[in-house]
Amino acid sequence: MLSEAQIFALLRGTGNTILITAVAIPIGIIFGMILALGRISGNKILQKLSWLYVWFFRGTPLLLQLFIIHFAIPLIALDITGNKMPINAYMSCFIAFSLNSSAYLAEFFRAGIESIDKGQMEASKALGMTYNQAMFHIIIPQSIKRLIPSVGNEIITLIKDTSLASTVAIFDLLRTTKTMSSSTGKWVYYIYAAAVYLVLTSVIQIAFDKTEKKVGIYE
Amino acid sequence: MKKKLVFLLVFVMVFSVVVVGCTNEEPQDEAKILKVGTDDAYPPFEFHDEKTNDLIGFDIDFGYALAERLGMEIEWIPTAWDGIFNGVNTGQYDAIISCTSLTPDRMESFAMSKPYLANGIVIVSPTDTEPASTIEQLSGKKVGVQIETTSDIAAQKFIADGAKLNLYKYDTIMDAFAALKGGSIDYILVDNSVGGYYIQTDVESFAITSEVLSNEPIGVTMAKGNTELQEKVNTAIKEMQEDGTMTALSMKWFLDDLATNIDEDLQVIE
Repeated sequence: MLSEAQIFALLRGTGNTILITAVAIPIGIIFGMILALGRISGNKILQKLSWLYVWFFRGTPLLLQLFIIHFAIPLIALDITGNKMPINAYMSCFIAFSLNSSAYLAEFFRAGIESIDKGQMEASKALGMTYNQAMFHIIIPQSIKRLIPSVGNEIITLIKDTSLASTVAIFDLLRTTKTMSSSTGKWVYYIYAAAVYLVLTSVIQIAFDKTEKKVGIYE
Repeated sequence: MKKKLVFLLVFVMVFSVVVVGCTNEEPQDEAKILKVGTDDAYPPFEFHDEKTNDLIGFDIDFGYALAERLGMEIEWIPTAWDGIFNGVNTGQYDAIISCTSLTPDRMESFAMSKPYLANGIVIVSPTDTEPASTIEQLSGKKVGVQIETTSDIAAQKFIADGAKLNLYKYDTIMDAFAALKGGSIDYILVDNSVGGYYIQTDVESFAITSEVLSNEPIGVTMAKGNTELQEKVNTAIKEMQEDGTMTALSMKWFLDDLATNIDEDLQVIE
């Protein structure tokens, strides 16, 4: 069974996992929406910039992005400026996970918005609405129901990906149990980790299932 | 249609069983191969050559010499340090040669060989900050270690004894040195041999600033109860220490003979 110290260690690890997810998802949603709007806007430069962003952050491993932010950038800054510019391990995680989930969410949002029939935008404009009015009052509200499953999906993926934080010396849930397992030679700790991950992801899954039903009540 | 599908399914299953069976048909002489787990990101003990990407290092040279003496072929199995001990227990490899210090805990849980290299923990400071020579001076500072190394265990002991270290545990010692250089952490606790090697590579950035704080010589780790291999390895190490092989290897990597007359009186901080 778990000792008191081990329970605290597991709780701390779980706390870090939740903390990183809780910071990254709201930032990811806001940034992702901005990127998605840029991608479908008429402005060529905004389109290209959004495309480049998604191309990089979706096309390289999250672990690599985390390494670049935590280890490479301070060394590059040192080479260029001669001054040390350390970056806090938590801050590196917040930045890397937020930037990464923005790229994924941007693509979900874009697909959601584009899935709304063109006639909706045309009708809004015929009624005298501007592009922004039509987008924020007509198009995006309609796309939300379609976005809920993919946002839920992204949160669940992110919860599991927080195990990468261990590479920058943050003890997440998985790392905590791995250490316990390898120092005692017992595999049972992996069951505790699996159980905690399942509890976390179940909460998200159930909450999103419910929201989807509620939002879709008039469809 | 359904029948065809079933037939196809059965065919695929039978075929895959046959294929799998075939690949297992040539049994290799297991007794002649020594499988060794190593964390291949730990210069100068085990790491990859910058140009050729070959596995090189003091431990690697030692491993080949040891295997030759045992009349076996060595097969290196690169493994992350975090969890490396599990592999020897589950039989994924016969031994660990990965700069593994002898500690009472490890000697209890595994069959450890006689030491083949002297080793202890030191403090590494960046050259542009106040050098730390004692644990007290690390109080309130960010201290990097590699996870589950003896330095990690020692740091936890210091904390349990009241030292106020902010401990940062990295997967590889390279990450810790990168973090130290970038300023994310203030000091590193590390084996003196490894510390010495890094300082050679970047004299301007790092310095060893403390005495050796412990005596934890390096040995080969084998599964508990594997006394046959343990005895053979011990005999081979003794022979290599007597005929000068170990001295030559130590001179090559550390410019000093750390591999003979090793103090076996452990002073472990745990």
